Amino acid sequence: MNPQDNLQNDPRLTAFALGELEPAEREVIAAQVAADPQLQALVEEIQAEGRWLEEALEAEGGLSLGAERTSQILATTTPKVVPLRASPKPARSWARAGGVVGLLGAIAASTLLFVKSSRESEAPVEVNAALAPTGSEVPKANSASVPPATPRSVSARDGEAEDDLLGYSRSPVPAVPAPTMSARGQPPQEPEETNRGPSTNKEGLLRAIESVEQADKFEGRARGFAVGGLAGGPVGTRATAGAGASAGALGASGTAGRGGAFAGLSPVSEPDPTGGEVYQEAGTQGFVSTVEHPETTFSIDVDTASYSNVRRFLNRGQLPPPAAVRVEELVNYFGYELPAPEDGRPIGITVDVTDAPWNAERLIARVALKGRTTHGDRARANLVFLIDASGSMQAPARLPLVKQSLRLLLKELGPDDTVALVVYAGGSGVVLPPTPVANRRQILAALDRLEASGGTNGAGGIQTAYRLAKKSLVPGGINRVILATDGDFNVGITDRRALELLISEEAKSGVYLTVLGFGMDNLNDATLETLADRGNGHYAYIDRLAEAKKVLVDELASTLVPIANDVKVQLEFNPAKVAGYRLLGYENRRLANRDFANDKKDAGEMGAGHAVTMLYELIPAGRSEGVDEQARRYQRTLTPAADSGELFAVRVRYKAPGDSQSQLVERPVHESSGHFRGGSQDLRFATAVAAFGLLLKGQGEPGLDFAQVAEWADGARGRDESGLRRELVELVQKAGRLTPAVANLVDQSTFMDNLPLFSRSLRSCGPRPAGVVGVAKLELVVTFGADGKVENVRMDSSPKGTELWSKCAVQQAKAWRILAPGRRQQAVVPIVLGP
Amino acid sequence: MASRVTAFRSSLDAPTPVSGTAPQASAAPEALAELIARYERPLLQYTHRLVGDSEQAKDVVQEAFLRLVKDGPRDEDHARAWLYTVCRNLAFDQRRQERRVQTPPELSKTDPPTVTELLVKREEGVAVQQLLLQLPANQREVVRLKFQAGLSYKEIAAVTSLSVSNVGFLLHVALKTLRRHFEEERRRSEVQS
Repeated sequence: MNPQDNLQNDPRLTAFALGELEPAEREVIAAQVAADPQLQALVEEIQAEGRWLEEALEAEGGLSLGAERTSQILATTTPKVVPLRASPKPARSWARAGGVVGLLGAIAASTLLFVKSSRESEAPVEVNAALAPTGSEVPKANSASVPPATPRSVSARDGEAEDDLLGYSRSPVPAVPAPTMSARGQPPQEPEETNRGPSTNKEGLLRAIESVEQADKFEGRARGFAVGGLAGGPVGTRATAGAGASAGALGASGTAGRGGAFAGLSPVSEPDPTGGEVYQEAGTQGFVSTVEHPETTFSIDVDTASYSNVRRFLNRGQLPPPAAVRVEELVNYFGYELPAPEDGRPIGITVDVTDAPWNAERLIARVALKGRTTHGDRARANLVFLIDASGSMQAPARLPLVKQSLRLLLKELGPDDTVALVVYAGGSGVVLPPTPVANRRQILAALDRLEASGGTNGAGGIQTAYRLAKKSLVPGGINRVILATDGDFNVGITDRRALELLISEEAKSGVYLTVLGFGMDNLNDATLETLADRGNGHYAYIDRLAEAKKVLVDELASTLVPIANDVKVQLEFNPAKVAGYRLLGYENRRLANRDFANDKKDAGEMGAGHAVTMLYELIPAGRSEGVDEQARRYQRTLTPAADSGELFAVRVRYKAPGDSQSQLVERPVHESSGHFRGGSQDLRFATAVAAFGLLLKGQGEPGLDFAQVAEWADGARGRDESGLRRELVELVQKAGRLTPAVANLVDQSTFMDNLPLFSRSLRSCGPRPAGVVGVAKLELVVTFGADGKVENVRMDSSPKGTELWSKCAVQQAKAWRILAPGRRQQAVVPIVLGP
Repeated sequence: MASRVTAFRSSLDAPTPVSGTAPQASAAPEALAELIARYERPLLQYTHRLVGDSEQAKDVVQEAFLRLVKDGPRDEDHARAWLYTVCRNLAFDQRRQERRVQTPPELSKTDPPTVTELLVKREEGVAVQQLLLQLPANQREVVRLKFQAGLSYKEIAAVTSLSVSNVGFLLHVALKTLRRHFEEERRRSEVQS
């Protein structure tokens, strides 16, 4: 046994990986680990395992003490905890005042669901998302308006006897999960029995906290709409407002005071690189006003990996996580018939516009770019395959598929092309130096020798691969590193940055990068996409041999032969014709408008025959939907071009390969709107795919459901020789079948459990409606039948300006469902749309 | 069952001043609310596994918070481990009372998975609970305390009355076992698909 074997089985290694060693010991272990790649890999593995456990355990169970118990605890605090004892670490004293909600991150609208019996008082409910400038401080007014529950209030409830306490634990009160009900074996409470007093302010606060917290934890990736605020009856109203206020304060940071007609409640990510355009963090739903931001600029994306990944999930009977759905990659997975570019330019532009199928008051604009196709004789190729042969690649869908895929590609190459093989696992090495394809047998033999083992060190292998590619660089030819991996780089986050930097640097040498993702479990989608972008390359996800054929054989030319670099697209809208717009997809591809003409600014690449399709949803000026007023006000100051009748102009900038100066193509688009059904087949199909993506991301629109989308797609299949469009239709139907299944998972009639699902559906109505001044308070009253289906929805109190949003919310709520509660129930959903 | 609730509530009966108006600058309830908001979930998750019943778990956690207010540490670092210790002791007390010491019910059969659990199962493909059930109870507990509660080795040692090195050993073995099961699970699911 050597010392390393010992360390592998030494609890100190685990402690080291988890950061639990004392400094002295830590250094000893660190030195040993640093000297041994296998130990490094093990450390990474332990850390990854820990992260997985944290996440998985974090998500376990939607448990909460419930409002009643929490208020009982809080009721004891006031006299006892204040004044505070000095604490050894004052900074971390839990007893210190602090933003209760501050830790919860940005929160937009607030809702809280609770069930009350139909006869219960319909007193106005106030919820408040008044957002403070920062989340770190609870406004003073808050503590004043939210008096701590006093013992008196507790004993008052005591006076109502055990029954009442049980009542709280049963359905009428939201915060208490339903197991209480079944656990106590009480018969369901009949609506007639209920005549409870209002909730106290304190409970409101707690529920708000609880629900925010739950929603937050439940879907960590889907920020942007959360739950806060409160409930109350005639007496509790004032206090309730206070409770809501503090919940709102919690979520304040990042949302307050955002401009933009449509920006409203959306949390905004990062310092805005678009010069003031307001977008939501990944998953844009908001429309952008053309008055404020007539231009939009982004880098093209010809990746398609998201589609295969989505397909993989659906075929496994799961809905893909929303973050894995990139609408533009779904749309661009499919081939469209586009005219070849005219006048010798490398890129042609096609635009068509119709009514949006889900909302006749909006338009869908398709902007498609088509790259020149090559004519047979392409330049010589110098390909370096960089193959991840780490242990995780062992599975059939990984390394074996990689080998099969490369054999396919090999058949497509000419005898003069060269191929090299580099593997990276624990160490990385050249398995095959650049070898002419004429020596096919030698290449195949090297491929066959590949075996998966050990950890992964992505960076070392990439360096080697680039070195080889540069060594045998074919001037004017195709020089490309093709990385095949499951994305499971066992390198830390800082290394990942270094890796990106390294690739950006190498890309300048004229060697492009293609990233092929393989594998089922830990496909690291985001990393791979980033790497491909940095490496002037593209990224495809290969889940089966047919996909390898599509990517490596059918699209070989475009995959390998770049015809235009740094392709940027800019649209300028005519505010006289278009009031608002949103781009469907391309969340991570936006560029600042000023970078459009900045040739130093990197953007996407197009290969021969590549096509890129972008879809915009437009709100025409002069139709309903809030923005108009503002638009009309500014219209008078528009330039004469505004009267041209043009909807927008498309500008494309690109560089010919090898050039450092960009060229500009521009094309105005006139109104050519018609009914969706009259639109071109490709437009209809692409729109259906985009709608599919939006639904999967939980960003559906009213009038949009999977069945409907499947119909649109089916009606626009065309010849579909590859069968890919038919497959999409099936996937949409599959997703449709899976979606209600999620709602049906609810095994208790607990609103808290439903909350994330419900709030997600409301979120799809978009952020705060334009035209609402101040805080708008809405109340959605949903009646569920004994079968758990929604019988009736109405929006009580719908302040001016929120009508459209309300309509959408009502529409969304109709699809809600709870597991058969055995009796009719009513849920009141107070919603606050704050500034 | 209701009697248990009543029993706990009796601790509220102490004659404390009733103020009809909001005490100015009394930040404590908010701080406590924050503390509850932050820890009730992991505490309930942990306690639930010890007592096997979500209502009992709530009783225990509520009681722990009540005791914290009464005479627990004021700083959060200590409060955290302290809360777990109290929950653990109370849970064992209860189990002793109910003579259930022999059957620590990690996810008892009668307890339907919650929605979140089901979703996690769907998302992860592998249910973490199932994996954890492969471990002996003492390892399971330290895994939960480490990764669910986020306690350090030292804190876990304090909570469980084990030595720090014992905690390290249990975790080490547990993680190793889990990695093995995880890998098997992964292979199995790949073969299936």
